[in-house]
Amino acid sequence: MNMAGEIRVRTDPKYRELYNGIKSFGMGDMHELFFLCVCLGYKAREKKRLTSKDERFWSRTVTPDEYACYYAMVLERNDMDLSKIQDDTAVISEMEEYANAGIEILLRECLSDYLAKTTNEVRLDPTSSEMLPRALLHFVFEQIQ
Amino acid sequence: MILKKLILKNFRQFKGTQEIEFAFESDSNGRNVTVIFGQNGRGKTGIFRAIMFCLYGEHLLSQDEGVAQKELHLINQVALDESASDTEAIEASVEVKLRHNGGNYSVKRTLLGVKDGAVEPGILRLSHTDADGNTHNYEDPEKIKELVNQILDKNIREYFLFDGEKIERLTRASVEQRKEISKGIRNLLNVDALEKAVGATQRLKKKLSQELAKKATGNFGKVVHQIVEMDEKISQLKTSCQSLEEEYVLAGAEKKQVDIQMEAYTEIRSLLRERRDKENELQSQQDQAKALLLDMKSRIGKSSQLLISDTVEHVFKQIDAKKQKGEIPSEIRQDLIEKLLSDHLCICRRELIPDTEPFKQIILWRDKLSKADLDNFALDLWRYLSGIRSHNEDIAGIAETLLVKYGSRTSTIESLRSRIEKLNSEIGTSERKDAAELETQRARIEEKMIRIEARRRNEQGELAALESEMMQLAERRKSLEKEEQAKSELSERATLAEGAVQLLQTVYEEFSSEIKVKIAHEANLFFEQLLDREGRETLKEIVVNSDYSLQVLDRWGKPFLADISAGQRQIMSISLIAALAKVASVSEVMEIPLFMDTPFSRLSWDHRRNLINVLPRSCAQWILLVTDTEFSQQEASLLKQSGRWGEFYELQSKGAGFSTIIKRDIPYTQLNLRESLEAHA
Repeated sequence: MNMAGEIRVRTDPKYRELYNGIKSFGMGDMHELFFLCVCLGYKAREKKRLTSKDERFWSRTVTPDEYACYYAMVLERNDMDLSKIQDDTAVISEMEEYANAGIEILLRECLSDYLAKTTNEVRLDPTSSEMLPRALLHFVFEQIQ
Repeated sequence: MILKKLILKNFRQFKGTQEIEFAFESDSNGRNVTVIFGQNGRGKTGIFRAIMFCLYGEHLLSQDEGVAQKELHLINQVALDESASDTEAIEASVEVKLRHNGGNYSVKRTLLGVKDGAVEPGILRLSHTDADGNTHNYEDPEKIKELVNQILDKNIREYFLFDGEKIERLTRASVEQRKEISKGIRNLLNVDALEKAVGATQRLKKKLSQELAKKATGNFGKVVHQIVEMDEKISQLKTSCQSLEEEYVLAGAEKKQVDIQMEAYTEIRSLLRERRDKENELQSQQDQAKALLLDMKSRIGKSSQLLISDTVEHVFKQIDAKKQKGEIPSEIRQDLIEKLLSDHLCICRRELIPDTEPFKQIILWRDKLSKADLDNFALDLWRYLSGIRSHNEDIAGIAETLLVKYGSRTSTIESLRSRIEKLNSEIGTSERKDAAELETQRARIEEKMIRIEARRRNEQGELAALESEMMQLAERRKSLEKEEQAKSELSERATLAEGAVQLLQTVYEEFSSEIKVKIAHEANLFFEQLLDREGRETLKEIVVNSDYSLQVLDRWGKPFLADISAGQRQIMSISLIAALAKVASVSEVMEIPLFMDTPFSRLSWDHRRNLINVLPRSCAQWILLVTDTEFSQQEASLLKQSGRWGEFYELQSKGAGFSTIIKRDIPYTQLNLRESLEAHA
């Protein structure tokens, strides 16, 4: 497996602050939030094209297990066609679309109470984000029940 | 640091001049264990207190919580009573002689007191004889404080000079305490020097960027200006966060002061005690809840894979079925084919000539290899998915445990808060007007602390956002520099300084994490040797968190700290201390004394035996303050067999408030200790 590390993983620019905030308060690193969003988007079978793109993190931070999950998703959607997982740029690009749909699910169903109300940008309210890890873990746990 | 001698004069129970010589590794006989034996009330803790008083000027120990300084008498009462007049001053002193980094130190601190209870500090002197034999004398308290902290940082003194019954607190330290501990450990391990280097390079980078901003033009100039402004904002916010932290600590001290004043009102004393207990419990529950949140934070990423477990299962089974049928892997070996083609030799050793039938056949095999690549790819994926599947159940189990534990903590926190609120109102409506006023003052301080904490949290969020914006701007600056060809000597220097900051930061992070890994590794080695069999079966490993707080995992890798016994907590803490001392020591043997007051009281015989077998071999000096109930014939025999027992002292009572230190021969311990004590009495 290639698991290429030199790809810049992109997200919609409007989520820049949200990614930064969640890195500080909710989860360990950006690739983890991205992975959560991909899984949410994939589970709901929802993809959303990125109309504008902002480079968020390097694919070298993606863990082998996360990469393996990305390959599994592509294989499942492509009738186990192994040639579809040869090009990591294409795999990551597809995952960006799942993540773009997944982050909307996350915002709608989990993060609404933790967002700053005073700004147009999507960003976390640091004063209410202390318990965010619990909210996120609980949300994931609810989805699998 | 190695303790050589302690000289006490009229200090606590020790009337007149009395002394203890400690055994240490470089003694000719290699014996490094000193046992100071005494029944309760004979002054064991007085010896511990004497060292803390002499080195750090402390009157109160952490175990004196709730005791006002004036209630504790450091000057021997019998000596005071015997003084000729009410105004005659009695001197109490403690002198510690120690060895550190090849030099010899002597620290002496005195107190002067009179019969009516008034006490004044006397002299403080430190004398240092370096390895070349030159002696330097110091009397400036600040300088002495600095030198003593260099020998053993005050923040971590209780790691090495500790009370056995309280040591397990290390596993329950509050967030504020952990910060102090972490600072002290960084100092001990010399990580501080690296931090200072990062700071200095950052200042250079800032200066060069400011100069560059004055000269740069165009879009490049604009971005450089923005960087300088943002840098300024970031450093302002950092300073502000730091001063908020200090303000918080000061407010905490102010609150403690009010609590001490309130202790004077006997009518509300029981309410105050209950409130203090509840507040301590609340703090401990809040710390545990915070630790659980941190644990959750590190597990959400991994837990996300549970959302697509069906996909993982499905793809795994598909590849597995192909594997079972023998469809993968392909038997064609790429390395073999490449070798045949490069050597122009067939497997049968005949020459391979291009355009002949055998050559074409091998080329056909090579073309098939792209399929073999895919097969290998599928096999690798099969392995990864197999690992993911096998962990899913554990991940779900841990997530559930964390959520349940957090729920239980929050409900305990709620009930504690409501009880404290009730107590506050009862204390506030006390019939004593002055007590009620103090209570109002206390409530105001608490409100202030809440406000400070909220501001600090806000500013930290702002800081995180600014720092990420700064990274984007730095990238933009680099690309504009190329586009606008704005390279100059100054910009190159600024870029170099920025690179140096990043590099040093990376070195610092790598060094810190390497040190942490090393500490965790050593702590686990000690933990394994010190635990009893039951503990070894239940507990898998200690995890040293980034703030040097501890967690322990059970055999299934789940956090288990909340469920271990007090004895196991003590063993955990001792393992961390031993690991710290070992990592900080240049030689294999830790050059830091382990000074333990009542170390065995909570430990099972197996734990005691392991400590006696392991610690004397691993440290340069082990000083034990023991009671008759924890140090019996069994422990004494084992210690004697180790061949490391160098000094033995007994504390004997000579009447109320008067103990003497008697040096004993080691063979004495072959007798039953309790019987011997009775015989002496």
